[in-house]
Amino acid sequence: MNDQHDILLNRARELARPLKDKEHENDVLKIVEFQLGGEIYGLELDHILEVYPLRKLTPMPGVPSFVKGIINVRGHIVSVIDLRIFFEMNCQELTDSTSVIILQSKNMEFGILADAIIGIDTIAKKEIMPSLPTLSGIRADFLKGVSKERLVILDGAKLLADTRLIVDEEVV
Amino acid sequence: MDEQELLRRLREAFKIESAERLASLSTRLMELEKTDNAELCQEIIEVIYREAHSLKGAARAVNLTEIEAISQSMEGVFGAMKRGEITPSSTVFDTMHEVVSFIENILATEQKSAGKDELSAILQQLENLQAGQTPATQKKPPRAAGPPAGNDAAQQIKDTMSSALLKEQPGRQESAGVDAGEQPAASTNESPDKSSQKLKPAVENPHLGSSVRISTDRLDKLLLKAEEMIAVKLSASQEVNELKKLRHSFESWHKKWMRKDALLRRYRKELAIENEQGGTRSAEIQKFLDWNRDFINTMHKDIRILAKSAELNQRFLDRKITYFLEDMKRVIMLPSTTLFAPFPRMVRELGRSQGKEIDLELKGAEVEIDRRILEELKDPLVHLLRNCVDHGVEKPEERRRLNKPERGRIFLHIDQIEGGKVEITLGDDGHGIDPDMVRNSAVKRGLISAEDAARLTEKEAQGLIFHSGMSTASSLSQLSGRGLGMAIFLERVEKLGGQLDFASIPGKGSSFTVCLPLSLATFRGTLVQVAGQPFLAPSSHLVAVLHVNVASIRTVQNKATINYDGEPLSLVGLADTLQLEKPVIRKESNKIQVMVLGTSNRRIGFEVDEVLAEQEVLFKELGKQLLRVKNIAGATILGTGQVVPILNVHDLLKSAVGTVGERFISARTKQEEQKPKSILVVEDSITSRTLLKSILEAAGYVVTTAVDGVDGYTKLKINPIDLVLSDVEMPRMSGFELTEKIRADETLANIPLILCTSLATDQDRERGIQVGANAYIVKSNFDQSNLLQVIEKLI
Repeated sequence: MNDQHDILLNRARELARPLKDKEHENDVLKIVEFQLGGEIYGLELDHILEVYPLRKLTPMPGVPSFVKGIINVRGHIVSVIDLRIFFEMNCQELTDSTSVIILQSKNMEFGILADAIIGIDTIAKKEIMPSLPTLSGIRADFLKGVSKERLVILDGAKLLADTRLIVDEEVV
Repeated sequence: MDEQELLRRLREAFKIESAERLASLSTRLMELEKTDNAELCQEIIEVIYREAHSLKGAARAVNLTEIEAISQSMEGVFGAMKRGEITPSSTVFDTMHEVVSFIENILATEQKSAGKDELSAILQQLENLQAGQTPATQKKPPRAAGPPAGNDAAQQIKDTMSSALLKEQPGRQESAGVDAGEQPAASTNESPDKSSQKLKPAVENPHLGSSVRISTDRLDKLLLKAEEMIAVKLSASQEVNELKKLRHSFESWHKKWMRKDALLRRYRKELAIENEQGGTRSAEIQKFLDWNRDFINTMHKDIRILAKSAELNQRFLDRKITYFLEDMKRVIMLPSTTLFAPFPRMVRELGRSQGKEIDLELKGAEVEIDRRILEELKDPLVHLLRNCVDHGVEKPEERRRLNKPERGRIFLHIDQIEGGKVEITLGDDGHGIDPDMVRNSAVKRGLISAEDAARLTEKEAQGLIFHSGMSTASSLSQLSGRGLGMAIFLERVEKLGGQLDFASIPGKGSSFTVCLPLSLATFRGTLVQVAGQPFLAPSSHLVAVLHVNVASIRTVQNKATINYDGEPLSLVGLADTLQLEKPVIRKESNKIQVMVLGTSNRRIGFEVDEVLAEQEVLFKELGKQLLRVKNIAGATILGTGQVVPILNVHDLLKSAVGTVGERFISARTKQEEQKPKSILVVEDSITSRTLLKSILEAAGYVVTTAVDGVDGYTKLKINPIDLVLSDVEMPRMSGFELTEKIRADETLANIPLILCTSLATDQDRERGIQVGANAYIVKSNFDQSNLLQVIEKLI
């Protein structure tokens, strides 16, 4: 009886333990980790509206190559971007993208391709280090930092605000 | 619609507006009475003052002079209050409330005028308020009190009022339900009773209940949601189709089963014998088979019932949603009057300011049109009207000289035509568009060369006014006028899915006809397949779908054309225009499918894989990241959930041609520049000669024939020929000899020459090349496309 009681008490204590410091709201980032072209990236959860399974992608003619097409998200049209092309990375390998991560701000909305969604993680802000010197070019502009586990965290706010992503072309 | 009818409608609107204003007035008056806060007081007075002012304006617009007069006096009182000349007292409030009720009374009883005495009493009261209690008014003679003052505003109004009242006596009498004989007494005896009765604050106003004001924003949202229902409709019909397919496969199973039924029965008998011998396993299989059959049959039945009910549901849904959408669209439709009502006055005034007497004839203002279209249309129409007044209609003296009635006439007709469309015709009986003036102006602006200009027909020249280059200059008024903004007008009309046409007879006048959909909401699109990918072409711009024989495609100035409607039509591949990587997929090698897309002044044929079906779709934006995409206007979602891009026809026409402008100049003009190529056919056999002649003529060439080498050589000397097609074996002079002779002749040496023959040996071929033939075609494998291809390569 007593043993049992102790066990239960211990369990209760375990479960009732306060959150670790690193999980404190203001000090951590909630990150969605995803795989794209053999690399793993992280994106802040704050800018993500939802993750949508990629089913039918309708290609668009006459758009920059980083725009892969448009999809139907419950009756709403969302354009889909391949970040690797936008980042001017070499991407010979064909990947089998399964998901679209939809980013949204007040004035912008688009989806980015992801080969796979790995999960959601919390990372302490203080553990995030500035950019790696190996990351250059356009990609460096959108980097929030690199985690202790060497996860590349992209800056969702910057992506959403960047005018280079906007397509606004007239026929001349 | 005549002016009376218009006035009636406007009065309906006024009733609603005035009721709101009066309600606001009484609320504010009560607030004012309660408050002590000086600042707040000032604010309220300001609001009241504005309400009275607006009421006055509105009443004037609908010719309700008595309400106008009262409102004006009220405005005067509140104005004085604003300036601090009157302090609000209980007398003031009592009077004001009385006045408000009085106006409400006039409106509620639908009387065109109130009792004369009551009116003068009310006006007198207001006057007293303004004058009697305000020493300050003495300083302002025009506003000063005192009935004898000749220029007293209120007095003036009273005077006009009395005459107005006298005219309207019968109407009043009728509504008061008083016999004609008792009339004089009635106006004095009955009126006080009636007014005191009506002075109760809760005046019943039947007109308040019949309509509501809703912000357009909310309405648009509602409409959008209603439109989303189209998707439900489409997916329901898609599901029914799926279910039908399923039912069908059950039916094929059933047929197959029945076919094997005899075999099964025989097998069963054998099994039965076996069973008697104690085979339990086969009995089990038999049982299972039976169960299986019954199970599938039950399922078949279920599916049949399900499909049936789904079909019923779908039909119900279809009907309901269609009606629902129609009603919803009607909600945002307004009679054109709301747009056109101020036009007659505007025209009259504009005309007068230029010394012209012009009448605007307005017809069909009751036709209801989508509010969004009306809004888009207003500015262009005002612009067009101004042009008519400024430049279309002549001055009276000129009109007299031309034997025209002195009063100019501008007409604006709105007709609802079939297919949910409306036709708006606007024109005048002025001097029309002078084609020569337009030509000169266009040449001067460098839009067109003098030679090209001279070649244009009258209508084509007039059509130049739609050229965007004609619309910028300020000197346009010197031209026959209509330049300014015509390009913009055309663009606006086309954006709304409309088409524009015009007619102008110099000296007689011009008219512009705009054909528009009544409602923006219905978007019909035609699904086409291009390089394996579906696209949707807006049906409003789809002129025709053609199956074109490849052989009938001709090249004019390196551009492919086909014959459509008796005119050459440029032909391009839609896949090329959209810069798709894959080419168009042709189903048949010798035929192509062409969809002709066009706006009111330009058409181009686009080759597609296949034209599939027309359907009603919901137009959707591409999202915030794709603000504007070349050649694509938006997207839609099919019943299957598939996303299909919607083509932007304006962009496509631009992309295909690569140049803007040349509006209304038909391709014909260009083709005339490009003379058809001439071919000399030298052939001794009449059959072959005739055949070749007809093939070549069908392909657009001018054909001259010769019966042998000598004849051919002579004809070459006389006629300008672009290419020679010659047989080899001929009397008098063979094809080889002819070739040699041509190549030796200085003037003819460079003419392309094709030899065609039944001689098929290599030596012959070699000799042909040796003597200088450009090509050597063997008759045995003589098919026309090969020949035409070779000719096309050479010239």
